[in-house]
Amino acid sequence: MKYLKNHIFLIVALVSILFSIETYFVFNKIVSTYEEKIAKNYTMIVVSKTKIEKLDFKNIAKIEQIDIKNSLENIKKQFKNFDIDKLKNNLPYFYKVHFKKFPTPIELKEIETELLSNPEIKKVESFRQNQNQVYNLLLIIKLITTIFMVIILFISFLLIVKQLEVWKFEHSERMYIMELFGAPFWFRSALLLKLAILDSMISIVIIFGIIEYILNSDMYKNLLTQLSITIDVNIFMDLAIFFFIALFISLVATFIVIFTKRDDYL
Amino acid sequence: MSKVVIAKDLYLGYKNEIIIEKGGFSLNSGDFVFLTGASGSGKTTIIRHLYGELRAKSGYLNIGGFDMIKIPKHKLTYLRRYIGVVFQDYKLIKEWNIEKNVRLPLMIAGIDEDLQQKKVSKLLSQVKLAHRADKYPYELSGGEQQRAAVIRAIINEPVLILADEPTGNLDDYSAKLVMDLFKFAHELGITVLIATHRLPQTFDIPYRNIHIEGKKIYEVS
Repeated sequence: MKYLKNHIFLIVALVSILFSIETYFVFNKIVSTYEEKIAKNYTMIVVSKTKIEKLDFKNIAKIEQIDIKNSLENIKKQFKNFDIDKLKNNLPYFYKVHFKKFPTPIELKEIETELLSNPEIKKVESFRQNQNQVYNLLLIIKLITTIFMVIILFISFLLIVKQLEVWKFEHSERMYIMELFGAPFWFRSALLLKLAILDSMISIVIIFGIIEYILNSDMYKNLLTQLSITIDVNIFMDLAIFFFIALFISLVATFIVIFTKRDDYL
Repeated sequence: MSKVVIAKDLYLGYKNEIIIEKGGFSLNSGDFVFLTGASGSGKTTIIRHLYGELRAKSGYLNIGGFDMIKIPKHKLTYLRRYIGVVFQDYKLIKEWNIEKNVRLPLMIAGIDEDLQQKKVSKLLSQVKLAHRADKYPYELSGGEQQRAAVIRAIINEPVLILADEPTGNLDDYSAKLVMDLFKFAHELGITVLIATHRLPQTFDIPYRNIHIEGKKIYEVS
């Protein structure tokens, strides 16, 4: 109980930091996977008076001319007396524009404006309204997740500072006495270092439970089904990375306590 | 007789305040010395400089062959294994029991655990604390805590023991037991320096008295 009381701030801070990092990465993965998926299916239609060889935008994967032969055949069938050749000569060129990555609403608007500034281009259809609703929602969630992560990091930093105060009060006297009798650095710090490793391990176990719960929750599975995407989360790799992050944070906290003495021992 | 401490032209103090001016004294191996002076005269300041917690402003202070003004941190750590320190407020580790507190210098020295146990048991029995070995400091009286603190200072048979008002908080009975322990340390050949504001009325071993007055250090006897 005493251990928990003296370590709760650091454990809560570590769990919060790790959880916010994991949330941030999972949402990034969801958004980028969804972007790839919709980028494959999404095209912009461009109507031009003249032939287009290439468009100078870095996000554009390819431009494909739309074959209007079938459409003209259909017209011919419906209107037998219609002069198709004359129509054919007066028709503009139609293109499908494929993107490497699904453009954000701002990028899309920029591309549209840029294209329309070309006098040869008569019309651009981006289907913005239809395509962007889910994507916009994901972008908002991603933004909120990023803000959430920054806030959590800040609050966690304050919690760690608070924990350092508790540790300083609790451990300084023992380390000072050991120092008086010539204890080397490793001897004085052994207990704190053990606690730092233990706190990191406790945080990892807690975060493992939370991530497992979320990844197996119906809400998470439904979200991926709704978006028609699959996300590979390598939980063991993430946990290994998290262990090093947690260990790094708790060791930095420990060394601050070790190298800063309480004023009354100066 | 070899010198354990040599101090010459020492200026000791804190930040802008000088406590000792041009102080000089020396301690020989096996000496028993009382450092006396009024409250605030600088006894604790001298003790703190002797175990390297403070550095002298100027002058020369040599302990066991180490220049205490220039001594690097790692050498100070090493030197402290040969100095036992006793404080008025005992400075026992409160989350350790008495047995483990007493064992601290042996643990630092890396002595074999069985030998540690034998030494601790022997000394605790000698000062009638064997039955309190598994108790924590807060469960002991002031006299018992101070006896444990002196045992901790002696157990590794250091070259020098520095005691800062070790009997200041104790009743006569406990003070006598503590002083007996310092005599025992003296019998082991350890140099003992005790800072106190008054000399004991009777003391049955030869001792020296170094006195501080008006920022100066005098050899009285």
